[in-house]
Amino acid sequence: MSDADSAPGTADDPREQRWFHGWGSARGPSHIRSDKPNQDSVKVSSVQVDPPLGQTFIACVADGHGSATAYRSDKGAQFAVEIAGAVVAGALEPGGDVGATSPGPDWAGAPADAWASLVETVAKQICSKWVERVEGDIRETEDARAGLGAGNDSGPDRTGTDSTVDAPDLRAYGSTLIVGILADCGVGVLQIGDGDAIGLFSPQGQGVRAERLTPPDPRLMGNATTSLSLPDAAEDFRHGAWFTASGPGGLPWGVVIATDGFGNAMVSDDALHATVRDLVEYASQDGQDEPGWVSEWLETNVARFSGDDASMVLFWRAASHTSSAPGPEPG
Amino acid sequence: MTGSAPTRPTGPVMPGDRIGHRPLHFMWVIDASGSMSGTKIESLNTAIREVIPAIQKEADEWPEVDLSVAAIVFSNGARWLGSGFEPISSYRWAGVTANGVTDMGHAMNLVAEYLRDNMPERAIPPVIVLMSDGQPTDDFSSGVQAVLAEPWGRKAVRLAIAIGDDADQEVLKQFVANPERPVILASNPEQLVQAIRWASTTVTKSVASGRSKEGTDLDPAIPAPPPIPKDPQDKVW
Repeated sequence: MSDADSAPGTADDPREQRWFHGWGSARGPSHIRSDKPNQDSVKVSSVQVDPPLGQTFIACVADGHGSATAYRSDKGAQFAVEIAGAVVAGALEPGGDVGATSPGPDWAGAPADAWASLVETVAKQICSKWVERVEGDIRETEDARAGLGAGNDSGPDRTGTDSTVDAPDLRAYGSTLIVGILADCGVGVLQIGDGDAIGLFSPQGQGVRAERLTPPDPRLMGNATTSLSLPDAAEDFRHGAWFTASGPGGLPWGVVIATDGFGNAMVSDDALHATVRDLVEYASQDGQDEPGWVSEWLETNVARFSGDDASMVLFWRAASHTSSAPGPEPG
Repeated sequence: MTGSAPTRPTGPVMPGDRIGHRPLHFMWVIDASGSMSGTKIESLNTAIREVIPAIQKEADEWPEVDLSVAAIVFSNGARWLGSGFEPISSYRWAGVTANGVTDMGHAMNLVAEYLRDNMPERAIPPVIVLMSDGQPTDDFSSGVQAVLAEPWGRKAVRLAIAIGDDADQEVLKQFVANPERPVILASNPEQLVQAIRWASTTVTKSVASGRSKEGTDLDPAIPAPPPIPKDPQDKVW
C-alpha cells in the first residue's frame, strides 16, 4: 500500500492503515415478480491473526441459482457463506487447519506458498461441509414433511423433483461462492462460479487500475455457471492473491466482490471497472465504515437493470483514524 | 435556529452510459426455397407478422432484457433480412418470397459468423429458430458444425420447425443437437402458426425471464412444445 499515493483514503504509512468495508444486497425484479426470496447471501467477518496478517477480513458472497431445479438455492447460498466463513477463519487462526502443519505457513517469507496451501485446504473443506450441511437439511426437511404431511415444502411439489435422504439432490441447493480474504499483508480471493472480484491497484505514477482478482473461466457464459452442487466442485475453484511482498503496486487498495447481478447490469467490462472505482472512491471519501447506502444503491442502480438479485461487499484500505472501528458483523 | 436536515449518503451517481439491460438475441432462420412457395411461405409470413406484437407485449413484462430480433433467409445462398438485429419495439416484418434452392449450410455459416463476432460477454443465451420444408442443397454439415463450434452456438437455445412431411428432420435434429428437444412438425398452416408462436413467445419468455443457472454442461431448460397430433386429419403439407 505504500505505493498507493494517488489512491483516495490512503495514508502514507501502511502500518497506520486498515481495511474498511461496506456491503449490501438487493432482491431482483425477476424474483419479486415470481415471489421468490433473494437467492444471494453475504457474510463478512474478521479474525485477529498474528502478523503479518493482522486483522483479517473474510468476505463471503454466494448466489443461489434460483432455477426450478435449484428450488432451495437461497438456503444453499446461506450455507455457503456460513461454511466458508467458518472454514477460512478456522484455517487462519492459530492452531487452525493451515497453521497446524509444521513449520506452518510462512506468510511473511513465502506468502504464495502459504496461499496455495490455504486454497487447497479450504476449497475441499468448504465443498465437503457444504454437501454435509445440504444433506442434513434434506433430512430435516423430509422429517418435517413427514410430520406435517406432504405438500408443505414447495420444492418437490412444484418441480416434480424429489429429494430424499438416500438420494439427496444437491442441485436443489446449487450456489456459487466467492471468498475474499483481506489481511494487512495481502489479499486473496477464491471463487467457484460466476460473479466478480475486482481489485483497484495504484502502481506508482500510473493512476488507478481495476483488475479481476481471479482468472476467467470460459465455461461461464449465458447464465451457465460452475456450482458447489456439481461433482468435483473443489476442482472448479479458481483463485488469485496479491501480497505486499510483491513490491510496489502489488496489493489492491480497493476490492469489490459481487454476485453476477451486479456485473450483468453493466454494458461492458470497462463500465464495470469504472463503476467499481467510483464505488470504492465514494465509500472511502465518505469515510464511514459499514455505510448503510449499499443495498439501496444496488436496488436503484443495478438490480432493476440486470433483473437479478445483486449483492456486493466493498473494501478499501485507509488510515486507521479516518473512520470508526468496525462494528459487529452483518447478519 | 434552523438548518437543513442532514443528508444521508446515497452512494455514487451512476452514469447512464454504463448501465444496460442484458441483451437477448432472437433469430429466425427461414427456408425461402421454391418448395416453400404458396401456402407455406404465406402462412409463415402471416404467422411472423402476427407474432411480433405478441413478442412485443411479452417483452414489456421483462423490461430488464433488451430483446432484439433478426431473420436470415436462405434459398440461392443466404442473407440477412433487412439490416440485421433490431429492437423488438421497432421490428416490422416485410415478408419473404420463395424461389430457388435450399442453401441451408450458407445460412448456418451466417449464424456462426454473427455468434463469433458480435455477442456481448454478458448476453442471455440467444434463441435461434430454424424453419425448413426440404433438404439442404449445399454443405449443411460444415455449416452446422461451424455453429456448434462457437461457444454461443452451443449455448444458444436452438429450435427447429419441420414444415410438412418432406422436411429433412434428421438435418434439423443436427441443428438442434439435443435429444430432449424434438423437432416440431407443422403439417398445416394452423400448426405452423402455433409452432412459430411457441418458439417466438413461450420459449423466448422463458429464456428472458429465467435467471436459471445450472451446470456448465446443460442446455437451458425450455417449456414443452405445443401438442401437435402425429397424424392430423387436416394435414395439408
